Amino acid sequence: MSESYRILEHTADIGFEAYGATREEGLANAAIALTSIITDPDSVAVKNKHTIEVSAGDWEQLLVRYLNEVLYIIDGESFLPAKADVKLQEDYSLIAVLYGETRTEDHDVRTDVKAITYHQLKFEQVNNGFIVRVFVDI
Amino acid sequence: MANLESIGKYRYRLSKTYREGMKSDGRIYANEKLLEAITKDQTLDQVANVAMLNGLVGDSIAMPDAHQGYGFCIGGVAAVDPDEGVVSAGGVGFDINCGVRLLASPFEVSDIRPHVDNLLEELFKAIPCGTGKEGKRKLSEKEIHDVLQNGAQWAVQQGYGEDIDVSRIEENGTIKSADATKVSNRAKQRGIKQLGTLGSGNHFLEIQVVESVFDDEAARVFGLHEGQIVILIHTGSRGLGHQVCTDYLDIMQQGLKKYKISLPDRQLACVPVRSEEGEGYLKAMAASANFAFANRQMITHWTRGVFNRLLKNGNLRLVYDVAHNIAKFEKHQTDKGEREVLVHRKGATRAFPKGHPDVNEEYRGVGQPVLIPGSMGTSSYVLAGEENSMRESYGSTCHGAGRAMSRKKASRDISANELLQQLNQKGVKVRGASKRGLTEEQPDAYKDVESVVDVVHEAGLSRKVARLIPIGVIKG
Repeated sequence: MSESYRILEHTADIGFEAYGATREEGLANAAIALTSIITDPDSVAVKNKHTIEVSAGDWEQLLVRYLNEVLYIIDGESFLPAKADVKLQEDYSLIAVLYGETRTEDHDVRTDVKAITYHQLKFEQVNNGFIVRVFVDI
Repeated sequence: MANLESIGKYRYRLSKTYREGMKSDGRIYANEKLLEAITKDQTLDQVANVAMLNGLVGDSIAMPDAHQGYGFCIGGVAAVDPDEGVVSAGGVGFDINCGVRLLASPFEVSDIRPHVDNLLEELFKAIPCGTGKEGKRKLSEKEIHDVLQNGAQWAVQQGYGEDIDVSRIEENGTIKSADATKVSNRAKQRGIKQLGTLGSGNHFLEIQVVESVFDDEAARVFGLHEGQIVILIHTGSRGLGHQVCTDYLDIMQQGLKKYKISLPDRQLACVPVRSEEGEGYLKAMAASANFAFANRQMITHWTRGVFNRLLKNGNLRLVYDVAHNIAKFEKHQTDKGEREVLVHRKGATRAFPKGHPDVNEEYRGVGQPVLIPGSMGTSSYVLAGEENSMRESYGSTCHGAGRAMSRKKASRDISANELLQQLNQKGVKVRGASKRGLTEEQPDAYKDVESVVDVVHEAGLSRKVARLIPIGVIKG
């Protein structure tokens, strides 16, 4: 697939679809798609990293818990990710490394994302890979 | 639509035949035009989904400003039986106690017009706003605990305001059932940084003029008159509330299996009110609501400081402060007589009528003030609670204009400079943290607040007291 994610927008909703040849790639692209709602990921330098570990009872829950962690790093730790590496452990468990930099006044931050939702959530295998769909509350 | 019928003036019934599994009907307050907007998105499906919740008492209700949300629609009201029913974190939403506060000034519009630019500049400096802005007061662990337990009363004890202020806040600014130990450390960490901040998105502070008064007696009791300058503050519990909702949505997801609850939408995740998880959520939600009351109290204090410094009079009387996103135990009339129910209000306002014991004594003769912010640059309303709200909508009314256009389209349709020029021509000055944020919140992105208010007025859920128009706006 050529694009790694795209933004979805309806009346009061904003969300994204992220794509990957593997689940891991889909999850990594989802973190950058989330960042792209907040700021331009291309404007973020790779200076340091945050590692997160998440486990869950099913794929959808893993996706939401993982993005909740990413969002906490963004909002709670003022860290902007530009790149993510995701390694699945056993089923429904992952370790992700987020590469980026601490937010400064120079970053053009468009909006806060309040939270990740389960609204029309999707994490599915398609013909040539995986598709993630998430809506967020802003 | 076959399952949707008019049931008298401004009321529509969504029959429980609309979706399998609905335990009761949906009821929508709207005129024809608003109903048309409501049927265009997933609002009706969400009203139907709420009607499937265990222990729902009466109908699943949508106000005229309803639009599609996550799980519940925005503008939704649902009452549940505390013993047989469920509590849903999604039924309150991520911005717990997002709400509105109105301050009445001793100034007339002519006193303030020449000072609007200066006031906006100084308010913008005094009140942290926009994305990522941290509060001015760094809290200790002990202090965040006290904020969560005591809300606006904590703020007043710390010198942010006067004792009399708290009597003019829903719940006196402190929900007593709050338990800070039910709030995660992560939520507290976000709260420590963000107490005393306005935030971004649709949150704002506006300098407004009382443009017309519809109910002389209520306006007099609320301390409002035509031509008077007032301040409207719209913000909530910030990252703390978002984190609490996120935490408990996860806990409730796990509870679904434990309590054998099946749902049409995972965002509706819920657990029995009387379960450990349900009680934990309600205590954490109350603590988050207290945080929001304290937040608005601190912003009030700094606003008074700016008026005092610039105009030598910071006597801004707190008129009232209401929650738009909350769940509360209240006594209501039901099919089984008067009893306590848990009322979820998601984008809806409590609207207790005159004589209700929970309305502060000062206003009990006319009914509780209801504050309805319009979109940026349009009118806002002060309403008063009416009797029909107790008979029909669990003491609830609408909360605002309701979004009608996506943020992207709103930003595409107009540039920030064009918007600022248009508003300037209308006599509205704007100081915003982000230009994009401004265009996303442009007036055309929202439904017409006038028709929303007309519907709740005609339906007798609340009555019009005064219309306010902005002359200065601070946007996050």
